[in-house]
Amino acid sequence: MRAVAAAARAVRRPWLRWLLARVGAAALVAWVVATVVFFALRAAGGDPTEAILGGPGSQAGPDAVAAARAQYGLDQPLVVQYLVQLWRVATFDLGDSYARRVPVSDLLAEQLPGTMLLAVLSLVLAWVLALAVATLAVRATGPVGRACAAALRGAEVVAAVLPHFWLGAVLIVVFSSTLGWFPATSSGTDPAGLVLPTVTLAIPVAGFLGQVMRDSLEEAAVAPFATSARARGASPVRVLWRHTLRHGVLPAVSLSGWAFGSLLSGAVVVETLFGRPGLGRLLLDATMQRDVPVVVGAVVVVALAYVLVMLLVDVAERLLDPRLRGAVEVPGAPGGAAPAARAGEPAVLG
Amino acid sequence: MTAVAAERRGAAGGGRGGRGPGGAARSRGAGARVAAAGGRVVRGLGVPGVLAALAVLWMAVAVLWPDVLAPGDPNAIDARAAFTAPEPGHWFGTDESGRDVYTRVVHGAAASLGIGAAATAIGVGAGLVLGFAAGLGPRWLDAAIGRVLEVLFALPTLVLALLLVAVLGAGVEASVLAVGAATAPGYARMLRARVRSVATSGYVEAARLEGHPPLTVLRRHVVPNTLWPLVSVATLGIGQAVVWVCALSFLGLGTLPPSPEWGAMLNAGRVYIDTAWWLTVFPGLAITVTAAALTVLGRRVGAVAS
Amino acid sequence: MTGRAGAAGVAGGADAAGVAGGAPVLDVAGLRVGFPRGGEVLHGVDLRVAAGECVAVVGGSGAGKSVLARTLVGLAGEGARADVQADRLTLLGRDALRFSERDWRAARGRDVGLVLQDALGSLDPLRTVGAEVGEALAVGRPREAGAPRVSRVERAERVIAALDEAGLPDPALRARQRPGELSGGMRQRALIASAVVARPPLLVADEPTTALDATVAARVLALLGDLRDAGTAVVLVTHDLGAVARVADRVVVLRDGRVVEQGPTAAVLGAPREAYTRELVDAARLGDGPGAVPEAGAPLLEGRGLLRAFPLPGGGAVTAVDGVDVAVRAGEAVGLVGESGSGKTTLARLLLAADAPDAGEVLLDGRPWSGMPERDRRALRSGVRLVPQDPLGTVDPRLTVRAVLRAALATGPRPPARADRDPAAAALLARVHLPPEVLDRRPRTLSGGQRQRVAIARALASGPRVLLLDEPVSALDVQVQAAILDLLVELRRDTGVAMVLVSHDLGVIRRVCDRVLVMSAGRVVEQGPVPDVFGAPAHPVTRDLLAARAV
Repeated sequence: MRAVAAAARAVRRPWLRWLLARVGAAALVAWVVATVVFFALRAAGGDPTEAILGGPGSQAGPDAVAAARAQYGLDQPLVVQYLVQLWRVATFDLGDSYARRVPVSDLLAEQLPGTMLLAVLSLVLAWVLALAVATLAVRATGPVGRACAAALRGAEVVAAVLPHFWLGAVLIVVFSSTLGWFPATSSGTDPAGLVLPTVTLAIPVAGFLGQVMRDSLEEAAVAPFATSARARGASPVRVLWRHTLRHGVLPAVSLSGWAFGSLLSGAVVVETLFGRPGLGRLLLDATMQRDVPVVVGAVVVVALAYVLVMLLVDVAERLLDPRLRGAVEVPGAPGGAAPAARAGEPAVLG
Repeated sequence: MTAVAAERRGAAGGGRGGRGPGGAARSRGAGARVAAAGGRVVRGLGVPGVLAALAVLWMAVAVLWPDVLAPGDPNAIDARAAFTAPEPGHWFGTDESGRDVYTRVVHGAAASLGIGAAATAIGVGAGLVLGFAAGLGPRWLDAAIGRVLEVLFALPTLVLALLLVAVLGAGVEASVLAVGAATAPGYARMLRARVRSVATSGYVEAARLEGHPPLTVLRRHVVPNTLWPLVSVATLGIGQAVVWVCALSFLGLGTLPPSPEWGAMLNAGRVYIDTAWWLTVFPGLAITVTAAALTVLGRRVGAVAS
Repeated sequence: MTGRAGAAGVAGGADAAGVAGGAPVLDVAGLRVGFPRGGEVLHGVDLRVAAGECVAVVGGSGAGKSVLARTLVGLAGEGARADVQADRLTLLGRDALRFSERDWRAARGRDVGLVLQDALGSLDPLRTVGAEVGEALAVGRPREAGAPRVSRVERAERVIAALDEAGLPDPALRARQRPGELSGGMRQRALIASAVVARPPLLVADEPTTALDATVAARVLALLGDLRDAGTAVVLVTHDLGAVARVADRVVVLRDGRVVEQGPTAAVLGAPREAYTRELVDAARLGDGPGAVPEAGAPLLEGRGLLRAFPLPGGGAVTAVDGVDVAVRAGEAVGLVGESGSGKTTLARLLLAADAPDAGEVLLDGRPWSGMPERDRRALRSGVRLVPQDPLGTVDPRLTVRAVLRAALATGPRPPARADRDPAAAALLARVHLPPEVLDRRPRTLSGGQRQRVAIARALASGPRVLLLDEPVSALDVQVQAAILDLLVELRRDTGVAMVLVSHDLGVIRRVCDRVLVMSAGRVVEQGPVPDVFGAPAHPVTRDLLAARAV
């Protein structure tokens, strides 16, 4: 029992170290993004007072300008402004939007849930579609089945490259303008309004994940361990569910992090197309208006969300694939020593 | 020695087989050799690959000689024919100023594909520099570039492009640079991995152990084996870049109407989506077909080359 | 031995099946198996196995052995539709030709078990060993309707019992581990346990000892022998005649899908009737010694006090080479033999100056070799050449044989002029008995033996004085192995090149080398002339290695 407890302790520590390393990486990312965005926008954007006082081209008097500068701390030297900005980002005080005069964090809090809901729903839908198609295609037999499987593969390839703006437009034309089943614009959590945007975002990701899953399922289906399982009397269904599926799903899990990022990208287009408020729209508008605090805040939030999802994906990978967990040296196991020696010995001599 | 005899039989048989079509071609001259090579390429591409290649060919014609495919004037206004649905004569319908959409799509190919190709060139170029530096250079350089790439990867592509547009301002040049810079990290990471894998491969070590100087090994082995896969990836990449560039135009940050660039057409047509669906569907179709064809072609080329 | 006593528990399978003592467990006559794309692979094969008997099926690659093994469990048509016909295919007295897929599924695991090679791929790396071993019990349907199914608790007990019978230490722990955490030998034995846990009367093993060290393979074969002694009928499909001699009662020789000879093991291996069988037996035996070789000259390549350690990812280090002295004289052939992990490959790399020693030095012609900076050493590399273990991975995949040889020729001390390089390349190929047509092929399209010959030609291009060969024949068919070794002996005689040959196979060393160094855990435990060390081994490691290699 004591040996088990000691071993458990040994395992937990590497986990902790790994977790801390990832959190540190996330913090680093946030810092770099904030810095780059700050300086780049300032370097290129000219005088921010213009943006504060009503956007480019506004003709404001010198008193208004001076007042605005003082209010937003723009009369301080640039380095001081940068440090202030950093401090604020670190304490989650992102300042006030130039264009809208409200705290940036309020804006973000307002718009973030909508986009996250859309992204999560789309990822789930994409997974369901990809899994369904991949498992169906793998079990296809006979000439008809094989032809269908080939057609599905072609559909997956095309789906993966469909641009969001076009797919969304086509869906609007068919399901909204012509059939009238779903609204073309929507907001909030109204289910009918969520359908078209979610489907638009989900299909390209489903195409991509489906291809990956199909390839790895096919590979696993003819792997020796599948033969061994069959040789023990397992039915094809059992071989699929208990053996090959886990193998087939692994690469798709790894890619889900990237897929989530792609969904965030797509959200900008989809929110614009369907007139939905959200983080993407916010970022787009702020970009056009040169609203620096909002751009910084939105980009940092996006980056952090992405990093967080990557972290979750890493954890999921480790849960699913014990090979990634790293060797835990159990004392007294002769099996443990042999691989170590072999690891030290280069297998191929040039 | 029977064992050696068996092997010789195998070698001679293989040699004979290998020599068969080639030998016959040699006797028939260079033309037959080209035909034989072409046949092999077509077989390697498969039906989807050939279709994709034909689509790309069509697009190349549209870029270089648009008048061959669409002899009209893309900017010809005809107020009376505004908002005509697709019909013979106006295959893709007309827009709010009566301009023929089909003609505009064909003439817009040069703009969209050109911008996509330019963005890809920027991305590949930057990716090559970063990838080779990280893959072949000293450890600290690899680590530094790795950190930079990690940060860049923390942002999804379009968000990164938006950021760059915010810095550079909207417009065609900015969108080219933005998409190029946004796709560069992807190329850099792929090239770095490829360079590393080649540089640590068995055949590179064998060449070093054979006594070849490092520059020769670089020139003869590392560079060719790294760059060849890049061809297929870049082909795929142009398709992706066209989509990103059009996305930026769609959002109003790239090319602006009345240019016949596909993304700009989408941007303009979005308002009329309820009444004149053809203004968004057809330019978008062109973008999708381009991206799909280039993706399939890139993949097939990659499969054939390896 | 627990294995032997434990395997007795497996016995009774044949009796429980209701098969009378004399009737064969497996009776196959006129078996023909074909595939839509590949044509017919087996043309009328007969096979009979009784309880407590082990029949070996041998033949070169392409003989159809694997197809036969899979047909016996009804899996011939994996990935492709197979056409199975026979005059008779009786399994435990039942007509297997009439089996539906459901019948086959019921029979697998319960009536017949299949063991594949390479247990790392044949056991699901994501599941525990216990889950894999117990699967036959989880899916199995009892032979008599109405008999109780195996409960989960009983299943766990039987799994641990099966692992114990297979000779795995600490079976309860092993059942919780994953296949990747076990050593190769333990994995293979666990795989066998997974096939026999439901006590099938028939066990089919397809190349169970490939890719295993000789001593480990011996243990696996001993386990199969125990199962046979306890009453299981065993069909052993293999190309390794040594394994056959150890454990098989009868031998069936297969060639191109036909049986060319069969009979008791001693008769078939000792006095083969057919020419093909004689070829196989001769090739397996290899020769005795290189024959007449040139006198050994001055020391050419010397290693003194060599030490090389590699850091482990979890901390600590493994010492691959631990204080080794070795000397290779001009014209002599030295063998480095040992199990995997003994350090022989690392030592060869140090001699080649592909790797630098942590302590000690390597001298070439008495001058520093490992200590020399690479800039100066590069010009001298033409004298010390490597024939690598993997001839495919060490050639740029885009190059033809001609390009490879031309590049190699350019590195010699007096490289031929551009115009002479092609004839020189053809001459190199002739030296290794390859026709000049091979020049325009890519190594990927060549057979294993041809690739190895090209690798040897490439190494000879610069006229080296010493060749290092790393496992030159381990990946080749038995007949091809013999041919390559003959070539090496011939090259020694004709060119007087010295050789350092790394191998885990004693037969290879015996055929080619004058002296041998036996290595274990980074140290040289015994060395001397080959006849002395192999004839009268002093060290237990040497004795183990010799015992493992029968024939």
